Amino acid sequence: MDPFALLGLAHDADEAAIKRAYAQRLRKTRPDDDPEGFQRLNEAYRAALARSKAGHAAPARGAWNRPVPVLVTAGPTGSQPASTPAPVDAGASRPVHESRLRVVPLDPQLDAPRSQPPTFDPAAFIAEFREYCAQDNPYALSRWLNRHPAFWNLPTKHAAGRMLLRALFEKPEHISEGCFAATSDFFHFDDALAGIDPLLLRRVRERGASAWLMREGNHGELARRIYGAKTPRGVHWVRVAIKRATGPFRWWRDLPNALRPGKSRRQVARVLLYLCDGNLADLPAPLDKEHARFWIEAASPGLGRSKLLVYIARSVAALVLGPLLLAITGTIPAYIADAPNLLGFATSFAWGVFVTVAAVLACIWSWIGVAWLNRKLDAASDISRGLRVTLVSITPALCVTALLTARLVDPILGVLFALVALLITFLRSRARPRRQPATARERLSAYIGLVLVCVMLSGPMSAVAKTIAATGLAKLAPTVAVVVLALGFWAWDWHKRGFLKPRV
Amino acid sequence: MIVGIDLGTTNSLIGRFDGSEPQLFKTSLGSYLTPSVVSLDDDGTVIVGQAARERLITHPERTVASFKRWMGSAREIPLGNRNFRPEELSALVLRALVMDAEAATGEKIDEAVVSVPAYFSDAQRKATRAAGELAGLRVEKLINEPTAAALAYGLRERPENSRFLVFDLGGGTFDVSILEMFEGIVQVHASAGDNFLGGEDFLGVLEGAFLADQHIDAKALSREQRGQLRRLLEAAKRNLTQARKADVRFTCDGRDLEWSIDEDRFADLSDPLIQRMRAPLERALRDANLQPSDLSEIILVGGASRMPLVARLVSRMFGRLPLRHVDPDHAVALGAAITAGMKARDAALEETILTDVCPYSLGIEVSRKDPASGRRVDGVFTPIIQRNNTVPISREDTFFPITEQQRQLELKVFQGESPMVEHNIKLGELTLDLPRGKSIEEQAVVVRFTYDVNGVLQVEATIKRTGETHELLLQQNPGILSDKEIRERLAKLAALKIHPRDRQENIATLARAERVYAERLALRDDIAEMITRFRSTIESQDDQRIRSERTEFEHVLDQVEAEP
Repeated sequence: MDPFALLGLAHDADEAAIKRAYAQRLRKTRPDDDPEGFQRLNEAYRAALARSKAGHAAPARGAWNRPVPVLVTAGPTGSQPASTPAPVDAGASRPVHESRLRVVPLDPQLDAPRSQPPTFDPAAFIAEFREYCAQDNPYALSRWLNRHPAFWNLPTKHAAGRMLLRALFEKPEHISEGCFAATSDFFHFDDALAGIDPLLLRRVRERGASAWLMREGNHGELARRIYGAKTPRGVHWVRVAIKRATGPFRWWRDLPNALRPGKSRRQVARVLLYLCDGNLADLPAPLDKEHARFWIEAASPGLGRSKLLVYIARSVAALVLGPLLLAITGTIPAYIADAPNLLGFATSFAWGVFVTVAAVLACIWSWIGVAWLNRKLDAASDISRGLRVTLVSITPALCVTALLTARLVDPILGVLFALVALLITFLRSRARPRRQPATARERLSAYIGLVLVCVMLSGPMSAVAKTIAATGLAKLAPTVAVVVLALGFWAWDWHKRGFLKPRV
Repeated sequence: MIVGIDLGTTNSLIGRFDGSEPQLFKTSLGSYLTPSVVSLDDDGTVIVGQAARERLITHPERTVASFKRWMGSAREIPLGNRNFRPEELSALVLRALVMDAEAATGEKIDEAVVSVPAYFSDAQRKATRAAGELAGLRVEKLINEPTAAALAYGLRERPENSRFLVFDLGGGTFDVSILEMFEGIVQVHASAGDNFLGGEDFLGVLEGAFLADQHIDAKALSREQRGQLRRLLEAAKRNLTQARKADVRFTCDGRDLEWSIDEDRFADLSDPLIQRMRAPLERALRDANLQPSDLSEIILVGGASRMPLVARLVSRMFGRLPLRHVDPDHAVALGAAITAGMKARDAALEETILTDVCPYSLGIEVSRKDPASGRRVDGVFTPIIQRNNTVPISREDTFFPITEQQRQLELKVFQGESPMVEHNIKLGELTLDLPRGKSIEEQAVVVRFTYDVNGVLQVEATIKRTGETHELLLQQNPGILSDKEIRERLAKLAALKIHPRDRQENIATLARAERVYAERLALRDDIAEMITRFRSTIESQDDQRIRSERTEFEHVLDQVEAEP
């Protein structure tokens, strides 16, 4: 309802008239007799006063939103208030975002403050504040703040608080618990109605803590926080992570690093995630945001662009290494006596490995292709898990290779392949058991992988079947025995993991 | 008859509105102030007021003071052979006040308006009401102390269209209120305060400095010695309001300790306390959306505001000298008496209407998603009624569950100003069963907070889709007495013996004599002899003789005390 109508006034009523009308009506609607009526009346009164002020005086801002009488002196440090004017909205209760931190510098063209406030140099103030924080003496800090002559002027103090927060956000500083509490008390940061988002305050603190942990001498502490203890291994990973994510991303340097197997990627991501606390924007200074994103994504379960890049690099490397290996195995035996025999053996083995690797790569890429078609690439879902599931088919693939080799090339070589298959299955079974049974999609992708392997190897398989039928089984016996063992172990392992059982 | 009572940390007063102006009642000792001290006699009889204050030094284990600071907590204070709750001790003070007022008017008093610090919490207000009930009074209204002081000032000076700030530094609490007066309306804009900052803390600072300078361990002092020392330092603190320097001579274990403190050192020592006053002042100004220059007056109220340090702070902050139009000790009681008159709809006050504010924010705990990292942060406080809104007020807000699968919603009600609930005071909680819905919007819950003029909060939660309404009963925390407990305690209190009012003067004189005896080494035998003689005179029940001897005795005591 229109506040002026409720007060029985015309829209151009002045403050005195509004107050008079309010007083008259208040005598009929006393707060203790008619709470609802009073609340309506009071709200109308406030609204009318606000509108009347907005109508008459030019700016609709309250005293606290007046341009801040801060004397901005351009200093050499980078911590000056923003030059883009944005209104400082102090009275609002809603959570604010970063942009609220901007402070309007004093424009001499606007209104001159009524009483001349003490000169206040924000850059010097913030520099001195950092010094006090470095000393880590909350009592001295509090005393210094309390005695600061400029802060008797309330708008200056208000603005200085906002400015300080902004400076600490942009150039993080490690502040101890006590010093932060003293500062927060003095500037009233810890007030639900101050218009400062508590989450933002926390970010300011965390950014400060990360900046401190990044310093050379504090890597041990960082390792202790991440790994629970300060171990040389932990410190090593911290160093590696900081080294890897410093500077912009360069493919010729970073992709070879990503090829290394083992824990490297996961550990780097872990350290980086701890440093930025789940928010890349809060990454401390020398670390590059995009670079860190690459490492974190490369270790995350989702199939992001970084991961795809790593997969491509690995596939290319595998395919390049294969022929290289062939070439080497082809040249070495030339210098050894009894060459022809050994040459045949080595070349066959290298070919076998190459074929297996190529088969597995084909599996993986076909699976990635399926995932791509399903537009699931960016979803950090169970894609990667499904991918690992596809590797289930590596044991059958190796088994088939072993049988082929045993029949076509050499029985001993066949046994070797079968043993490799057994070893892989054994290692996989030793790995950490899955926390939850496989989903329908995972089982499906495992079956797809199997089918793909079967299709790829169906031609050679039929040939094998024929040759096995033609010659006796005697020569193949050891290979077949190990293959049966490997496949049995494989099936038992997956059964144990509940992978072949449907999810309950 | 309805009276107005200022139930203070150190002193309490009572008054009423007599048709044209507020009037305070004197105690039987002729003073307006009744010290808020309770003591138990050797035979279990209750002594309240000046006599009890004297006994604070001679019988510290049977005497208690400053219990207002514990109001609203579950603390029990051992006194004699039983434990007292702060409410009960306050009730005993209230009874003593009411007895004085009944003696002065000859009327039965059954209703009262009691003043509380503006920044008193819900539990502390409830405790004050309970204290009234225990004293056999119906507490018609609780009035905020700075508001009461402003009423007293406003009715005397009748300033039109002015905004002013009341700075109330009492014995144990500090309050700030910004008010506006126009057309007979007294409108409170904002209140803020600190419930644990008052004259006692300044005394504590002096005590700490004294003990440190004299290399005395506080634990080495007996309670009697501690009480004596505090009394001496209190006198020194009062001296410092006029003189630049104050001397203290304290006899401890046969040693005569001399100590002096000057104004500058005291200012330096109490600087942290003075700085703590800035925060409530700034908050009140910001909430009222006013600049220091928008205020027409600064009014100092409360005994401790006599300290020059306070005036210095005010002049520094507001660029002007503060006013002391009304006696800082009486202002609150006069205001309470005026409010009592308003409550009784006194014709002279018919035109005056008071609108007050809710001094603290009330809200619930929510979980928020951090937009930066995408994680959920629990324990965020969302105010529904923001502080310094005019009461009565009713506000509502809509809240959603975190996920669609959520079947229950926990509604935790908090009071306080910190953006995280862990630093605020929990008032109660309620668990709602949510209906199944496709989206969280369908499962919205509307929470309504209603805060009335008496400071009672009502919380109502409505599930938007079904219209099902739940009402939250605010938790019975251990600091609040239930009705049943109040009845039980009332019966126990009624069993206590209280010295009749006409004997108060004799008791006070005896208590003072005993205190002087304990403090002074000179003339001890003479005082002991006079005490024995006065006791036997009291036994004789000859009023004439008792009165003349008492006057004489007081005169001697005055002389003894006047000697350095």
